[in-house]
Amino acid sequence: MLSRVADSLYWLGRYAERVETNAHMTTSQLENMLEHHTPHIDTFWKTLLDICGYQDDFHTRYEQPTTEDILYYLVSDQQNFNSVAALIDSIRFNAKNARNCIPNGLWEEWNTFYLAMMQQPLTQPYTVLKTTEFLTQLRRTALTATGTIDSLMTRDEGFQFIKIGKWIERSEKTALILLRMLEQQDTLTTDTTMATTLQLTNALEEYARRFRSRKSEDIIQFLVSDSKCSRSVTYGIRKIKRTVLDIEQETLQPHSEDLLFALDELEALLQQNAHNMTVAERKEWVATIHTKCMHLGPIFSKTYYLTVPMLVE
Amino acid sequence: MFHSYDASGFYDEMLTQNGPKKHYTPFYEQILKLTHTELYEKHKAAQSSFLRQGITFTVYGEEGGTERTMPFDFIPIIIPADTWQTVEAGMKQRVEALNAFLHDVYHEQKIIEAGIVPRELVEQNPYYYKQVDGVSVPLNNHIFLAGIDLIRDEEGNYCVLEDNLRNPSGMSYVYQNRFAMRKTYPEFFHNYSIETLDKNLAKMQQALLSHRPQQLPEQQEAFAVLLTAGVYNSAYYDHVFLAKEMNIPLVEGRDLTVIDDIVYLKTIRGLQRVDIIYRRIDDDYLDPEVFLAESMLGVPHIMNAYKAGNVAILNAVGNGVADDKAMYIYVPDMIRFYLNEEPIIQNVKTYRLDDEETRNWVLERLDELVIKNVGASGGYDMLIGPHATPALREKFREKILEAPHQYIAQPTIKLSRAPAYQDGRFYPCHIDLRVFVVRGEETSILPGGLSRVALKEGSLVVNSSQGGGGKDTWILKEAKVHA
Repeated sequence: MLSRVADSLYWLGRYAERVETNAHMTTSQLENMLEHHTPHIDTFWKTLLDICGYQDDFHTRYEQPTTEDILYYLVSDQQNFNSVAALIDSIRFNAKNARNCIPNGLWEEWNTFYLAMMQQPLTQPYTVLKTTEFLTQLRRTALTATGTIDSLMTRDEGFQFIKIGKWIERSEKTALILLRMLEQQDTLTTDTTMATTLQLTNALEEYARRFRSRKSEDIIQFLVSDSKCSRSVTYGIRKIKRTVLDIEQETLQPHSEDLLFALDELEALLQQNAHNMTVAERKEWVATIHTKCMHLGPIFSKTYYLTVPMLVE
Repeated sequence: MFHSYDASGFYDEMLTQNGPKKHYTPFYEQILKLTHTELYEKHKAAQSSFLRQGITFTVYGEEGGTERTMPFDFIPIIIPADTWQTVEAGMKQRVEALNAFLHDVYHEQKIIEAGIVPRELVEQNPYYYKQVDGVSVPLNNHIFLAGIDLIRDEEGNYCVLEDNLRNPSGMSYVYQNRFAMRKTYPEFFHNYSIETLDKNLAKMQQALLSHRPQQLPEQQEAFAVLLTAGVYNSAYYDHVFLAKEMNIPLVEGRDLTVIDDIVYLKTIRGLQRVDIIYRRIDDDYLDPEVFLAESMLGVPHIMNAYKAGNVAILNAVGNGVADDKAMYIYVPDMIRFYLNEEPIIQNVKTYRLDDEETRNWVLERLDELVIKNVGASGGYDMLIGPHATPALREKFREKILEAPHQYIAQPTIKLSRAPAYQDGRFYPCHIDLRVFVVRGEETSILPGGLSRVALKEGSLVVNSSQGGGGKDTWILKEAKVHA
C-alpha cells in the first residue's frame, strides 16, 4: 500500500475517534453544567480544554472566557486544530485523499455531515439543546462510519491502518483524561473526579454494570488494565499489537522491531497493580503510560514510512 | 409541458415544430406521464446525489477553490445507431491520423518536408518539446485517451470543434450521468435498447496495460499507476474514478521517486517498481529537472526513466503540439497524408490570422465571428462576436493585432440545441459532445460520450467551469426502438 494513502487512512482513524470522543465529552460537560455549582464548572471546562485542545492557546485569545467562548473554541473554531469543525475538515480531507481505497459509503457518510455543517453551521448562541443535537448527530455519523468500515472494508492493510489509528488515539485519550482528572484531585472530591473520569471516557455505564466499588484505585485499574473494556488502555494496546502482528504475518521483522518492543514495554507497564501504589505513585504511573502512548504514533509512522501529519490548508 | 418550447431556428436534437423526432418519441411520451412535482423531486434527488458522492470539480476563484457539481440534466442526447457508426469511424480515423502526426513530428517530420504543415507552426509551438525528439513510445502510441469535442450545425451535421490529446477529463461524468439516470429516472429506459458502458472500463484497463515499456521483461506483469496533482485539482474526482475502476493506485508526484532511471512507488513496505504511468498532470509539471523547475507536482528525473524505456508515460509527452487550435486546421490534411483517406467528420471552417489579407477580412467581421486563443481551453480568452459588446470586440482587435499567430477565427455556428429541464420548465439549450477514444493494442470508443449543455439560456459556452451542465448520451442499438 502507498505510504501516503496509508498515512491518510491512519489519520482518518485517529481523527474520527478524536472527534467522536471530543463530541461525547462536550455533551457530557453540557449536561453536568446544568446541575453543578459554578466554581466546579470552571475546573471542568478547563480540564476539558486541556483534553480537547490547547489550554494555553485558548487563554492567549480569551482573557475572561465565557462558556460561549469555550463552546465556540471547542466546536467551531477553525484555528483550533482539534475543534469539531477543524476535525471534520481533516477527516474529509484524508478520506478524499484515500478515496480509491475506502468504501463509497464511508466517504459519503462524512461528506454528507460536512456538507450539512457547511450549509447550516452551529452558530452562537450555543444553547444546550442546539449544541447537544449537533454533537449527537456528529456522534451518530462517527458510529455509522465505524459500522461501514467494519461491515464493508476488506481486511487488508487499509482496514488495519484505520484501526491502528483509532486504537492509538483511544488509548492515548483514555490515559490523558485519567491523568488530567487525577491532577484535579486537590480541587475536587475523589468521588467527583472518578465519576467524571468514567463519564468522560464513556465507560461509566459499563463500569457501573460490572463493578460496585467506587474506590479510585479500582477505577484507575479498570481504565488502565481491564482486558474487556474497549475504552481501557490495555484493550487498545492489545488491539494495536494484534493488528501489527497481522500486518507482519506473525513474524518479527527488523523494521517493526522498535514498534513491537514499545508495545511490549507498554503492555508490561499497564499490568502493574494500582492498589500497591500511593496516590502520587499512581499519578506518576498514569503520566508514564500517557507519555508512552504518545510516543507510539511516531514509532508507528516511522515503521511504515508514513508522512508528516496532514492538516487541512 | 413543451407548449412554450421553441424548436425553430436551430437544429434541435429532440423536437421539431410538430412534436418529437421518431427516436425520441418513447422518451417524450414518458415525460408527459409525469407531473411537474414529480419532475422537480427527481431533479432535486439527482443533483443532491452528485454532491453527496462528492462528484465535484473545483473552480478556482479569489478565495481558493470551491467545489461544485456539474449540473445534471435528465433529458439525454439520443443518437441512432447508424449516425453513431459514422461518428465512431470518424473519430477512429481522426485520432489515428493525429497519432501518426505526433510520431512523425518527433521523428522524421515527413509532413513538414512535404510542405503540408508549416515548420514554424511546429517549432514555435510552446507545446512542442524538443526534449522528446526521437523518443520511442510503447506501441508507437502517443494517444492513450483522446477527448474529441463535436458539435452539430444547423443541418445536424457533426463537426469537430476541438481535439484534446493531453489530459482530457470528464469520462467519470459519462458514467455518473448514466448512474444518475438509471437510479432516478428508470422509467425513461422503457422501450429503448441502448449500448451499455459497462465493458469499456475493462477495455481501458487492458489498453493501459498494453503500453509495456521497452525494458520490461516479457513474462513480467506491468504495474501501472495514475498520477494526479492531488485533491485540490479540478478534475480530482475523474482521477479517483478512473484509478478505482482500472484498479490502479492513485498517486501524487511525492509518492514516486527515480533511482538509476527507474521509477519507484513509496509503499509501506519500501519501494515498488512502476512500469506505466497514466499521468493527469501537464507536461510542464512532470519533471522539475527538465520542465518547470518550480513544479511541486512532478517527479525529478522521471524523463530520464522515460527516455531509457523504463517507464511508459500516457498520454505521451509533447502531445500539445497536435491539439492546439492552430494545428487543428491541418488535421484534415493529416488524415489525407497519413491515411490516404478523406475525413469522415469535418472540421469547423477556421481561419489563421497571421496572413494579413485574412486577418483584415476577419477584423472587419468581428461582430459575426468567433475568435479563440490557440493555446487556451475551457471557454477562456474567447470572443463570441454576435454576443459581445463593442468594447470587448475592440479588446480582441488589439489582441489579434498584437499577436496574430495566437488567435484563430471561426464562423459563429448555429450550434444544435436540445431541451433542458431546470427550475421547473423546459427550454432549448446549446449542446456539444465530447467523444472519448481509447487506444492501446486495440482502439475503442466509449459509446456516446459526455454531452455538455450550456444551461444559461442562449449561451454557447458549455464548459462546466462557466455554468455548463451534463447530460446522459444514449446510443441506440440497431432497430430496437419500438416507437
